[in-house]
Amino acid sequence: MSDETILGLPARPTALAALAVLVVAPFVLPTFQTYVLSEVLVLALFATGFNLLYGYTGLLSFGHAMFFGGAGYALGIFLRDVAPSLPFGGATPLVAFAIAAVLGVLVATAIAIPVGYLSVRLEEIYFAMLTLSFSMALYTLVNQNYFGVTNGSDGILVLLQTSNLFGFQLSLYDRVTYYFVILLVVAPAMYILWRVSNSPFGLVSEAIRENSERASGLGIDVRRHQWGAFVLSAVFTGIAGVLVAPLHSSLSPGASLHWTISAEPVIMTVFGGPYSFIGPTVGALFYRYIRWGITQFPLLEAHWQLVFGTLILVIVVFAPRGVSGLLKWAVDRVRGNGGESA
Amino acid sequence: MTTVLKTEDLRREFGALCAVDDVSVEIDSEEVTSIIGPNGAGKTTFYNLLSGRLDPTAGEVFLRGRSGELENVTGLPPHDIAQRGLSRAYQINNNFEGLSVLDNVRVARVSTTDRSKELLSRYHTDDELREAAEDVLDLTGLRDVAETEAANLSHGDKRKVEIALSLATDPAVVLLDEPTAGMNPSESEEMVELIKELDETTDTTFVLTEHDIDMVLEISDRILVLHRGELIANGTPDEVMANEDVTTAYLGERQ
Amino acid sequence: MALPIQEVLTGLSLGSRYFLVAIGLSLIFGVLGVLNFAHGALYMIGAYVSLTVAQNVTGSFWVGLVAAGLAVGLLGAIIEMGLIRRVYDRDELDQLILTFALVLVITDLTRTVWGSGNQTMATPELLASNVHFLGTSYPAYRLFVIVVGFAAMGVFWYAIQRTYLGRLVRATSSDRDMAALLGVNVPRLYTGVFFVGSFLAGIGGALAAPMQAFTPALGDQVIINAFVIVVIGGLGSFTGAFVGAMFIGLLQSFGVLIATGVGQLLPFLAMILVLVFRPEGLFGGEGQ
Repeated sequence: MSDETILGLPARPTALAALAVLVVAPFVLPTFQTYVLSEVLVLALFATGFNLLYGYTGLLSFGHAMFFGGAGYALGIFLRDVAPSLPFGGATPLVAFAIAAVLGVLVATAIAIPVGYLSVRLEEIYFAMLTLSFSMALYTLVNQNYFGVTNGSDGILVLLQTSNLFGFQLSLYDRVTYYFVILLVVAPAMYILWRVSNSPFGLVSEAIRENSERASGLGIDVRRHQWGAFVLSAVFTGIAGVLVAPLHSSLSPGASLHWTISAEPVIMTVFGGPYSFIGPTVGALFYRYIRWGITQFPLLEAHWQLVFGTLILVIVVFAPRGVSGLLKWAVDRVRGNGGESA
Repeated sequence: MTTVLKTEDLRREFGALCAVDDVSVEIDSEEVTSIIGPNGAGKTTFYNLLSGRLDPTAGEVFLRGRSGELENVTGLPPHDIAQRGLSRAYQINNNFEGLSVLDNVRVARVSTTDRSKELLSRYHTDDELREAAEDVLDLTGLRDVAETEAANLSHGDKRKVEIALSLATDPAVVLLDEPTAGMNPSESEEMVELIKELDETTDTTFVLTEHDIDMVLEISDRILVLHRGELIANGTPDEVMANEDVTTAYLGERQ
Repeated sequence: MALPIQEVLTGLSLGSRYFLVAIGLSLIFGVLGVLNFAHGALYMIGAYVSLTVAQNVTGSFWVGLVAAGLAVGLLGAIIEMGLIRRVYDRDELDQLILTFALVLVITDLTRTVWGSGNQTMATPELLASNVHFLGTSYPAYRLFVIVVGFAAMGVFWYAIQRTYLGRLVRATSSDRDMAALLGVNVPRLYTGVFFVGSFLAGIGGALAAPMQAFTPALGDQVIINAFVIVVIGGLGSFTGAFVGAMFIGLLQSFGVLIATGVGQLLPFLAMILVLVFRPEGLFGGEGQ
């Protein structure tokens, strides 16, 4: 990925333009659309974090829900049980949220360190199977309420309160306000991910994906590097996980930890294209907006799985570089760049 | 004589088969050494033992790498031995196919300069890294195809990338495995000239395995002959060609 | 306390159904190198086809059983020829994603035709009674399922070890290119293998239909268990699929005795242990 471009367009202006659009959007969109856009941002972070491991390092995890949901549950449990007794007065809800978010990400990291260590020792399918088993084991533990704090299959409510900061009311449950909270976190997070992807670390990851034996012969400790990529991927997935919990106001094993949740970043990344930085984001956009579009047509809505399944089939068979690959190809054609095939 | 690579009674068994049989050699840093032998003589296994891909059943391997000292590297993992200064090029092209030629070499440079853990610096705009990589491309005649994806190169160029990767780590020793494999005569000529030039211009010691005897005679200062895992000859080209055991080994195999 | 015969039999009957899915999954992986995510969905289709043929068309469970096997086998062959064939030269992960997409498509189509509600099916009259032995009584149908499972293993073992086709399968499992060089019609073999694997899954689903209320979600539940089984037993190992299936069946059957949910947790823990300490599985590494 010799990318200092986004879809064939120069990186910096495109990114700034996108950011400008995102800042202005909630003021022109109906509230529901702001909510949808919030979800897109979170999904984009989830998918891009996932792709750091898949597209860049070549490791397909089928268990990323354990970081996404694990971080969310840590946040939810903290907010439910500890936050009410915090002594920060009017600012408590905001502070509690911040602490809970950090805690959630730490929990995701803590899970990723041992799981990653064990998993990177395996190849391909076995790596996918092991991450799947860890994730489903966690799902089962939470679903059966073995720790007594997760409330089983009913899940937990995550409700953010209004903070009172120096006389200024900050309602985090307000959709527009929370949108900006998300944007404030996701934008820098995506920038950091972009830097990591274009760093020596990222280049080595790609080398490992292409030919891990050769990388080893060049002096790279492949297992260690993969472990690092795994943990990094989990951190950013955890950030997405703590952001999404208050957005949906609830957590449940089925919606946060099940393998069908692990499948989401896989679908989005395959859609969008795993071999560019922006691919997963494109995939997230398509994923979320196609789902929204489908809800407008009851006939399609009832068959969204069929629609998605067919789209994935078409993409996998005919467009291995995903939608972003197609878009880049189109942009290259329009701009008259030499380009590789889509 | 400075020994840059040494083995002592190196042995590797696979069940009842002994692929490398008590081989003891010392490779001089000033010489180009070639290893020859009929198919199945154990050359590839020998290389795998040197580079750490296989562990020996018995015996030891020593390397004088970056540290300047002759170190015992027996049993160390491949990446560790590579970091110490032993590099390897493969018989079958073993590049990073999906990356550009320039990026291929960049990977090697990143590893050598111990920068693989850098998370936030941008490698595209790193001039030092780019220049170091381009130097290697110039050495191996790949500058023109720097931006080409490795998968799209001609066979000859892919072989050159193979060499470029092995050199880009500034190794003390390079193990070349049949560098002219699959090449037509003019490409082979080019490769031979390249190796000669690299031997003169860099500090790296070249060791190669080859089937092309003419090439071996032209380029080598020393020839090692393996037969059924055993070292049956070790000397200058003239000495080896006059050695009866060598002719028996080759003639015997041809039946 | 009496011998836990009930639990053992329940475990074995569960294991027999799992085996019919796992053996196909393992066979397809061993020969084609593809991990078929959609295998659970095929099992599920078997249940639905059997239901329709048995209840609405012919009134005979037995016809429904055979129809299910053939229909699903045919479906599998079509999938292999139309889709899987296009991605043989691709990454294993691309193949996995493709078969995952198939799950979505198949599940949705099933829901379209049959609806998402619970379906139930009557036990065939011949086997509707209980059998009395060893001081307990047990439904005859479940014993029948166990018999089918063990018989399937027996037939399979015989076919693999003693027949030409079996040798072909073994050879192709261990070295695809060599098999092609030896003149084996690899594409036809692949389609055949996919057919057989799907056929068995279809039979499994048809057998399961009278035993529980089922919905289109049945496939999802089964595939995860099937993954656990083939990983524990060893991907590509047929003995492993059998032992693994019985093991998981018994684990789930006895797990209920200990606490709720234990039956769901233990398989994943077992899979983790196997992958960490013996990734090739208990019987893996032989291609048998």
